[in-house]
Formats: sequence, C-alpha cells, structure tokens
Amino acid sequence: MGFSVKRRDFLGLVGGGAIGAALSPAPWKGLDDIAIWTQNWSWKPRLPRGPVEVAFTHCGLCPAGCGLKVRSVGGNPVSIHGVPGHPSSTGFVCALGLAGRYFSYHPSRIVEPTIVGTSGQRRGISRKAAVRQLGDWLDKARSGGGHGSVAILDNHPGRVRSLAYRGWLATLDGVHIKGLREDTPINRLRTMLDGPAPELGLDIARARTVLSFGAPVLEGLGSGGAGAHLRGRSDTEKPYIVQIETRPSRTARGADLWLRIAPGTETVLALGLANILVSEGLYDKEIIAQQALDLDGPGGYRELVARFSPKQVSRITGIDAATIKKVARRFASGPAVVIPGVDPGGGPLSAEAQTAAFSLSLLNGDVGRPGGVVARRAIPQEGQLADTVELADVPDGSIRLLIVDGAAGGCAMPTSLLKRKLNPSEGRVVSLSPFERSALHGADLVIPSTTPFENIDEAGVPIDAPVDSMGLTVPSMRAPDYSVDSLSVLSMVAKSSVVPTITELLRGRSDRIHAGGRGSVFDPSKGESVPLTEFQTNGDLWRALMGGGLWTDTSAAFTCPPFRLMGANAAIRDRLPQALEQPSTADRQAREIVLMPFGWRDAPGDGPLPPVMAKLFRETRLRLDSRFATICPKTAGELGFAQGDKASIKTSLGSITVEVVLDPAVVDGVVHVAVGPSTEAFGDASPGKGDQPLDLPSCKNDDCWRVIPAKMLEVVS
Amino acid sequence: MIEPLDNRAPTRVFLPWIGFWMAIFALGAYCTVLCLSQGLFHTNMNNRFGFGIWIFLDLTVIALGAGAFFSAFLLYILKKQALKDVIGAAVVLGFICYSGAVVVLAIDVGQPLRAWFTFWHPNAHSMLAEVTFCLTLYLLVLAIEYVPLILKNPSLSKNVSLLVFEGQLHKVVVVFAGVGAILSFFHQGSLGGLYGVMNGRPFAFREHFFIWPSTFFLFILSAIAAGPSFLILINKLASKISKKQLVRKEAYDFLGRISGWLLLAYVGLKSVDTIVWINHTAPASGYSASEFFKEASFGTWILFAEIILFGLLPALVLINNRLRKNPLVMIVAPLLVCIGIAINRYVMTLQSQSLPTLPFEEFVLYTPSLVEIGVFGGMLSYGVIVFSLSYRYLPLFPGLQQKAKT
Amino acid sequence: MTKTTPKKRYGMVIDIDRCDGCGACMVACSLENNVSVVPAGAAPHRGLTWIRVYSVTNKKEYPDSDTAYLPVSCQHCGNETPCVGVCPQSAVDVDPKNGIVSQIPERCMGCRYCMVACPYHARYFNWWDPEWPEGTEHLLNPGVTPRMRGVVEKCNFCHGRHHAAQERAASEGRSEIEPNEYQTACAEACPNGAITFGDLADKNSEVAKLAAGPESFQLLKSLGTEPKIYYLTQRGWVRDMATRTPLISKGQSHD
Repeated sequence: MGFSVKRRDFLGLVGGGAIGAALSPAPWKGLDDIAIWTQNWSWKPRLPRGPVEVAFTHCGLCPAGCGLKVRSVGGNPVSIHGVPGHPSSTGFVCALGLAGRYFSYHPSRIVEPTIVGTSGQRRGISRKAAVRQLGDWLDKARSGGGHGSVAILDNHPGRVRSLAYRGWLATLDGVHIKGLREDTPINRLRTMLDGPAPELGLDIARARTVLSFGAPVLEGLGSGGAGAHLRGRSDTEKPYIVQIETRPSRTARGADLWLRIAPGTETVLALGLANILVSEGLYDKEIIAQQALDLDGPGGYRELVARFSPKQVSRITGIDAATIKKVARRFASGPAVVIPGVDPGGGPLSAEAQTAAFSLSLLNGDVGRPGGVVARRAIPQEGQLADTVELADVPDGSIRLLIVDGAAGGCAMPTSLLKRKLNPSEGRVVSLSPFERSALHGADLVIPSTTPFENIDEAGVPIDAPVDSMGLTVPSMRAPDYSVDSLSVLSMVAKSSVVPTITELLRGRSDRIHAGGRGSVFDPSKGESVPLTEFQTNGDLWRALMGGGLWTDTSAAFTCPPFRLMGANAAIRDRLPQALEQPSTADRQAREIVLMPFGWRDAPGDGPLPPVMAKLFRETRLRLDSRFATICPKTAGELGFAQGDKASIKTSLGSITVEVVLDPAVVDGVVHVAVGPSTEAFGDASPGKGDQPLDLPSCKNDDCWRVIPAKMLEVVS
Repeated sequence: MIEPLDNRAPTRVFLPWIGFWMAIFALGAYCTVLCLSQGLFHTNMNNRFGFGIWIFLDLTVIALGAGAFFSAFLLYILKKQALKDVIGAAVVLGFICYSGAVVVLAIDVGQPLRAWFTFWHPNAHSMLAEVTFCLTLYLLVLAIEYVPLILKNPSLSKNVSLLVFEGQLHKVVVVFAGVGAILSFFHQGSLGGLYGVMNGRPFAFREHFFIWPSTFFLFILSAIAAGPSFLILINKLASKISKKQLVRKEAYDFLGRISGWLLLAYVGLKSVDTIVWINHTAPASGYSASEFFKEASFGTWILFAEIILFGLLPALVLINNRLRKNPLVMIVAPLLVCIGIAINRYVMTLQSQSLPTLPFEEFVLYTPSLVEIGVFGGMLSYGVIVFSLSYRYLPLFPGLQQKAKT
Repeated sequence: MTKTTPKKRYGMVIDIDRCDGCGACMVACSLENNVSVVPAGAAPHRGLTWIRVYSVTNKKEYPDSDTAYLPVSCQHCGNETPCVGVCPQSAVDVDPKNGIVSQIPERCMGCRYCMVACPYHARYFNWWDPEWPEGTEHLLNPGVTPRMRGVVEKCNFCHGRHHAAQERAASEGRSEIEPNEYQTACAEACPNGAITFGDLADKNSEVAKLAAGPESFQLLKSLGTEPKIYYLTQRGWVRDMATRTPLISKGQSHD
C-alpha cells in the first residue's frame, strides 16, 4: 500500500498549518520584533555613558563670569546649571553659557597652526615652525621700530594673564592694548580723576537712577542675572532705568524710560543734562567746590554746558526739552550710575561722549558714593609692567607685530580699525584664537589656543561688582593636543625673560589674597560663604578656588580726588563744543541712510557660536542676524522697500546684501544691522560670501563705528 | 507572450507614447528615491505645512477615482446596465487612482517602514486610521476586480485553469461591488472627516452629526458626483487619442445626468454647511469667517469659484437633458465639476494651513518644490502607462469589442 | 486596603510681563532634550523648537511702541486634545496619571496630521537627518534619546527629568515625587523667573495659585482645548491679542 500525497492533502496541510501558526504567539512576536527593529535607528548618536560627576567652575565666555555647576558623564560635560546663592551670578546662566561647552567641538576650530603664504593662501605648519616664525617677526619688529612696535591685544584685560603679558612686553618695550569690553569706558572716568585712581565699579544695584547710554543693562550687562534682578525687583528702592539708545533694543523696550536719541548725539544730550544740573543748581555743590578743577573760568565746564540749552539739545537729539529736564531732575535726586555703553557690535561711544557722560557722575557727586561709582581695594602686584593703553590711544601705523589674545567675550571690531594701527609695510598679526573666525580676520599667523571650558583662567570681575573678586574657570574638558596656552607661546619665543605659567600666576594671586586676609570665600557645593580667615593655609584657599569657589573682597570707603569735568585730554576737550555742529538727520539726501551696526550681548561680535544658538536666530528669527536690516515703514516707503525685500547697503568700503524688516519703533532714516552671527558662526560648512557689516565702517579718523553714512539700494537680480 | 488586442494602437504609435511617459515616470522615481533616502527636506513642506501638494492631489485623485466604486455599485447592485460600457475603464481608473495615491502617501510619510504600525497600533478614533484601513482593503477589492479583466486577454484566456478562475471571480464580483461600495463610502467620508474633526483648526472644523463632521458626508457626496464626470472625461480623452468611439452615448448621458443631480445635491448641502460654518461654528470658536478670507491669495473669490462657478453652474448644465446632447458641453461641464472638487480639496488642505490659528503667527504660503512635482508627475505617468497598457491588451471597452467582432 | 495615587495635572504659568525674550529657555530646552539644529539655509518654519519665543509688537510708533515676548510650547491640552485623536497609530499619548501629552517618536511614521491639527503650531517634524558636529555626541544628554529623521517631536515637559525623578523616588521607596524634584529645563533656565512649573491639581502649589489668579489666561481659550499652559499679563493689548473669546455662544449641543 502506497502513501501518496494528494493536492487536496497538501493544501489542507498548508492551510491548517497557517491557521495553527496564526493562533500561536510566534508570528505576532515576529511582527513585534520587526516593529521594534523599525523603531530603532542604527545611525543615531551614541549617548555618553559612565559615572556621573558634578563639579563647579566659572564661565569664561563673557565679563560676567557666572558660577557654573557642571554635570559630567564619563568625563564629558553633559549639562550646565547655575549655582544658586553664588555671590555674583546668583544661579543665573545665559543661553550662551548653557551651550558654551560646544565651543570645543566647533567645526570652525583650528586644529593646527596656519600661516598665510606668499600666494595669500593659508596653509598648515608645525607648531615649532610657527613659533620660529613668530620669533623671527619679533626680532624684526624690535630691530625696526621703537616703543610700541610689539603689542598684545588682550581681549580680557585685568586678569593675571594680562599681568604676565605686560611683564613680557616690558622686556620688549612693547605695549599692552586693552581689547574692547563692556567695562572699557570706565577707564575714561579714571583718567578724569587727578592722580592715580583705583579700579572702579558701578554700583547699579543700589543706584536710584541708571542713566544708560546704549548699554545692554537688561540684556546681561555686568554680573550674571543683574538685568533679570533689576527687572524683577518690585521694591521702592528699585533703580529707575533711563535707556538712551537709538535702536529699539530689548533694554530700550524694557527700560522705565526709553529716550530714542538721534544717531550719534549722545554728547549733546549728556551736556544738555549737565546744562540743567548746572543752571538749576542740582549738582553736588560741596564736592564740586572742593574737587572740580575746571568748572569756572574761560573755557571752563560751566561755559561749555551753557551753550547746550534744552532747546538746542532737543533739536539735535530729537528728545523734547521737557523730558530732558525731567530726566535731569530725576538724575540729581540721588545716587546715580552713568554707563556709556559699549555695544557688542556697534562699539564704544566717542571719547567725548564718554567724557560728557561721566562728567554727570562727577557733577552729581557719585564717585565714591554707594549707588554710584565705587572703588575696589587692590591686591598688591609685583614686577615691572608695560604700559596698558586703549586701542584708540595707539598711534596709527606704529605696530609692527600685533599678537591677538584668544580670550572669548571681546566685542567685535572693524578690520579697518586694526589695520590702521599696523605698520603699513611690515605690520604682522599673529592670532592665538582657537577659531577661524575671530575678532580679527586675516591674521598672518594663527597659533590656536584653548577654548573656554578647556583652560584655566581668571573669570574676571563684572562691571557692576562693588568689590574685587577671584573665581577660576576650572577646566571641565580636556584641551586637545593641538591647542596651546597663550603664555606657553610667549614662553617658547621669549629670549630674555621667563614667562610664568598660568597656574603659577593664579596661585600667586591666590597666595597674595590669602596673605591679605580680607574678604570671604563662597563654597558652591554648600551654597554659603565663609570668612577668608577660616582658611588656615594658602593651600586651603587654592583648593577652594579650584573647587569652583569665589573669593570676594571687602569694600572700602573712597573719597573722590580732585577731577576734571572735561577730562585731562586737550584734544577731547576741544572736540566737546563741536558736538553742537551735528547735522540733523532730517535733511538727508536721496537714498542716504544712517547704518548703525549692533551686536547681541550674549552672542558677541561676529565670532563663532555653539550651533544650538541657531534656535534663536535662523530657526525662529527671535533675533535677527547679519542678513537682516531693520528700518521703519516710513523710510522703507520712501526708499521703495517692503517687508522681505532684498536691499544692498553700500559705503565706500563695500556693500552688504540684507533682507528688509520693518519695525515702526525704529528712527526714520536709520537702518540697524546686526554684525553677527553670520551663517558660518554656527559651524556650517558654507563660508559667507561678500562683505560683513563690520567691513563697511571706514574708521578713518576716529575710533567709532556706531553711525555710518551709507546708501540703501535695491538689489537688481 | 501576451499579445495586444488586434484592433488597438499599432506598435509604432504605442512605443513612443509609452516611452514618453516612461521618461516622466523615471524622473518621478528619481525624486522618490531622493525623498526616501535623504528625507523630506526635498519638499517645500514645513512645520506649518505638514500637508502639501501630495495630500491635496491624493485627495483629489481619490475623489475622482470614486467613479470605480460608484459605477460598480450602480451596475452590479442597482443593475444600471448602461454602465456596462464603462465599468472596465472605471475599475482600471479606480485602481490607478488608489494605488497611485497609496504609493505617494508612502513617500509622504517620514518613516514609510513604519506605515504598517497603523494596523499594529491602530487608533480607533483617528480618521486617518479609518482612511488607511478602508483604502488598503478597497485597493485589494479593486485589484480583485482588475484581475478578471487581465485574464480576459486572449493570450491568457487560452489557459483553461485561468479561464475557470476568471469565471469563478466573475460570480463573486457582486459581493466585491457591495464590499467596495461600503469601504469607499467610509474612506471618502473619512477623508473629509480628516479636516472636519480638527477642533483646533476653526477653518476646517465643522458641526458633527453623531461622531461624524459634516465634511464626512460632503466628501462622499462630492466624490460620487465627481467620479462619473471624471469617467466621462477620461473615456472621451481615450476616444480622442485612440480615434475610436469607445463608449456609447447612452452611457455618457447616464453618467452626466447622475453627476449633475448628485452635484446639485452636494452644492445645496455644501451651501447649508458653509452658512452654518460662517454663522455658527467658526464664531463659536472665536474666529469670524471674514478673517479666513482676508488674504488676497485666499479671498472670497475662492469660495465663489468652488460653490458657484465650478459647482452650481456645471450641475445645472448636466441635469439639463438638452444641454447634455451637446458633445462640447459634455466635455466642459464634467471638466468644471472635476476642477470644482479639486478646489474643494485644495481649500480644505492648503488654505486651512496657510491661515495661522495663533494670532501672532504669520500667514504663510506654500509652493511645491520640483521634487514634489516630480513625484506627482511620476504618479500621473504611472496612471497613463497602466491605462494605456490596459487599453492595448485588455478588453476594457465591451462596445469596441463588439464592433471589432462584427 | 486601597491605595490610590492622587491624579496630578502638570502645567505651567508663564508671566509674559517678566519675559524679556532672551531665549535661554529655548536653548536650555534644546540642550536638555537633544533637539538637533537644522542646516544652514533651512527655509523658515523648518526649525525644531519645542519651546519657541515669539516677539510680538503692538505695531505702534515710538513712544507708544510696546513689545511682548510669548514663549509657546506644546500647551498640553486637557480637553479634546487636537493631536491625540488624529494620530492613526497611537503615537500621541496623554498620560492619565499626570496629563502630560507626549509624542512617541519610535512609533510615529511622520504623517504630520497632528501638526496640521495643532492650533498652537507647537509640533515639529524632522525634515533632515539630525546631525551633531563631530565629537559633540559626547555632550548630549544621556537621559534622552535623540529622534530620527521623518518623525514628529514636541515638548513633553522634559520627560527625561520626570523619569529620572520617578526612578529616584522609587529607589527610595516612595511612590510619589516631591514637587521640588521635578522641574522643566525651561523653567530652570529662565533668568527672570517667568516660567513656573508644577502640579495644577495641587491647589497649594505656586503654579495652581498663579493659574487661578485674575491676570491669567490661556492661548486660544475659545477653542475649548483647555491648555495646561497659562499666561499672565497686565497689558491689555497682549491679552486681547493672544486669547480669543467665542463670538457667539457655543449652543446647547456643547453644554
């Protein structure tokens, strides 16, 4: 008997098998597995794994120097938090600080020294060769020029590192140039005081009135969260913020009073306010009588301000006379802080505007008064130091070798301004910036240094801190081998002197603080401060600082020395009355417009940014980047532009193409363009084409680029 | 070897014709590969425009493809024999429209590999889940209805077992016609429901009857009104191209009449719906209808065009027995009907997204990218190719067949 | 013995008058949730911002010009949640225990119907393969899985933090997390203290008190979606602009 399988049997077997299988869990499990497989993503980033560590440090990205709590996993910092109770930043961290650790991996980071060859092309060289080249240029600069032929542009002056720079420069007869930062103008006030002046700070928190000439008071000026504290205060002692600014900035919009001043007329307004203070006798008569050296007499301050009548001032500044009087009276009613702002992109006010503004502080008797300008006690320094000057005071064409420090947080500067200071034929620029795009483009030689979060340094003392302090930027990431500390570079080229290491310098300052015995130290892990006297040895203090601690000094009384209301500089004094000759913006020619570049406080200048900052710019346009120009609808109408149109802004040096954005709060005849970020700031591969806003100012005679005459043209495609 | 029917397009005409459409298809395939391999950034859709030209055209194509189920329903269930001439073409058209739409949908979703999750983790409340289920099943039905047609190719009908299979299928076609009609009713309705249920989008949201928004019913009605018109158009186009009378006049007349009356009913209900929406539904959500139409690109003109110019007008023409006799009218009026339905789908898909609901969001416009157009061109060429092949190799038109035999 | 877990209703109150548009919340959110950055040249409305700060002006000239900044994230609607019902494959989920509306990106096929349905434009699609500059994957938050191309994502009240807080509580034998254990990244980062996060169901919580206050309102209240994000302002024009009132009564059928 044979066994045969018929077709029917076969079909039955298959069908029965299928039904049976469907009732079993197997196919459903299989489907589920497939579901899970399609949910997985093989090329997704590997997330960090490893032990969780928490460390404390300070942020080195801007002058605020906020206290940070860094959470690391497997040695990688995966999140940044504020430190509640921190004496300076009180738990605050800004958007940039939160993302700052991404700088280390920024795609535009330079991974080897580069030099510009004879053909103009940039090529990589070894560090040894780079140092040798720097040494050659150094010798050449010294032999070819006199005092000041070697200079260091220090983007974060006032650190111990700056002292080392100055010590090194002293052996070379060089000069130390203070890079532009938001606290730079306070040096102007120091020069107005007769005799040696201490370090000064602005006591914003206790002021009755804050008179801000375009300073980003509510956008991060000073210590971390200072603006937020001002905004959040509801007490009766809360400072009244008067924002004097042309642009409808976030501070202008949030200030108690916004004076929308005509472009470039700050000197006039300051002297107009002085006019009211003097004519109404609202100034501090006692101090003025005792200390003012130039109030009366021919060419004196009284004579100067008499010419700035409210009517005249109102005509030039566009602010009505009644408001000017109101502000002057408010200002005189108690301690006040005057801040001549440094815009992160638009730069400083003119020297005369700064002088005129600070003369108000002196008139009001605010220097040495709580809630005004306070003096910080000094920690003794040793050794011979080179002169430290501002860029404006450097003679044109004098520098043969300029070394640009790579610190973060400086303000953007036009290339033309720096070029002017260089010797036209032999001037060389060596950049220590870790990024391709930094404050100065087109360096002849780049030796990349470390990024913030990788290097140890001093965090700095914010402009609004009434006392000195010391906090360290303790590295939370390992510096790559191709990066080098700026002092090591100097040490390698130093011929006649020994350059100390940054750690030695910091330890030295820590030891001197310990020896002074003053002040207290904040412990971030406990959230409380203890008196310095409780630290037995200098090693104890050093360990506390290395653990993210912050030492703060005690305050001391300061009596205002004799001063000059118009400053000691004769050239500036002579320029003050000329402010009245300002042409009115009303009678502008066809297509002429005033270009006012500006910068974002926590996305400074035109340098690189962590990619995530793109969320605020190109992903939402919450902030406009350098591709946009804001004008008022009236001006746009006259020039024939509508929202979204492309326009070309042109000066004698070049042109930029922008997209028109309308804002009725902008002054007629003015266009605001952010100097950054540009597209490649976020690390995108495509390099920007054409000019950037800061390529446009000419800066031929003065050192300001806030107000630039330009033409706004249609783009013909 | 499958042979073409003897009286169809000669090879020297057919090859260049197919070649041209194959080239467009290849272009579409390239665009598809771009989207699938690199991502949907190749389109011009964005976070404000989650649905773009593909969804709009899918909806239009599915509405026009409704001729298939509706003809089958009329022929097999209601025994309207006049439709015998067009049923073959209707089934092929339906199959093309539905399969094309499903393929484009698969490109449109960001993760096509997970498209089957709708069956694995379905959300019973979702109109889109309902659409997916009905669409997939109905595509199956269309495929089953298509198979007998394929088997009627003389070369294939030589095979006895295939012939038997074809005969068996033919017996159950009534069942499938019924199932297809139910499935189609539901997915046409659910496609309308997609918009009507969006309680967060006052432009699209409509009053509900039980669980269904009014758009559910309006989409069904507009689809069965437009389907016959589209059948008229395509058959006339095929006649024109092949230079043969493919369908008898009675069939056209019947399709025209039914399209006209259904459209009239649709326009009436749509008008009532619009009035309720303008005066009640939208204001109750805090929006006045005037703001929906304040931008020039979507002004009240579009409402007028949709309801009057491309709705009421062709409906009145098509219900008129005398006007239907005019061959030109029988091209223009169905064309207007089809455009009108396309405008409706366009408005529901794109105008509802252009209008911001957040008061501080901007009004945005969207234009499709070349890749989006390319993919759609691919789908269109696929349709032309399948229809051409079906025409050449299959007895789509019984009327033509009879003529050839005599 | 019955042990019932009290039902939480997580929500937020955002004080518009305190927000100065600094954007720290947006950056903190993106870093916390590993939200990728879209490439240069991306067209508008293609970014990924789980919380997005809108800058809104009253369109007046100086000195009457005024600007308000409105941070808008997923509003975690409590009623007829527009996105939940539309998702064909149950990839949008409302947690019945706490009211958090979350997207399950692993299940999402990217049909984007939820984005079309959302009245707050708070849902975002991954148009590109997410990319991080080389090396930065070590800096990502290990507690949150990055999403892939082709799926929708949105605010989930920092699910990673909620999860971590729950695990911590469980490891200590507690079934409930304390209010101070769970805080969203945006609320933590806001320098102005404009964002208050917490349990709206807890009448004693700060967030519930603020939400019940006379200055609070919800975006597009007239839609009836009952968002769990409340806003505060004293400025009439902001409130009038951001909230809508039904122009007629809803009728009997909806009561």
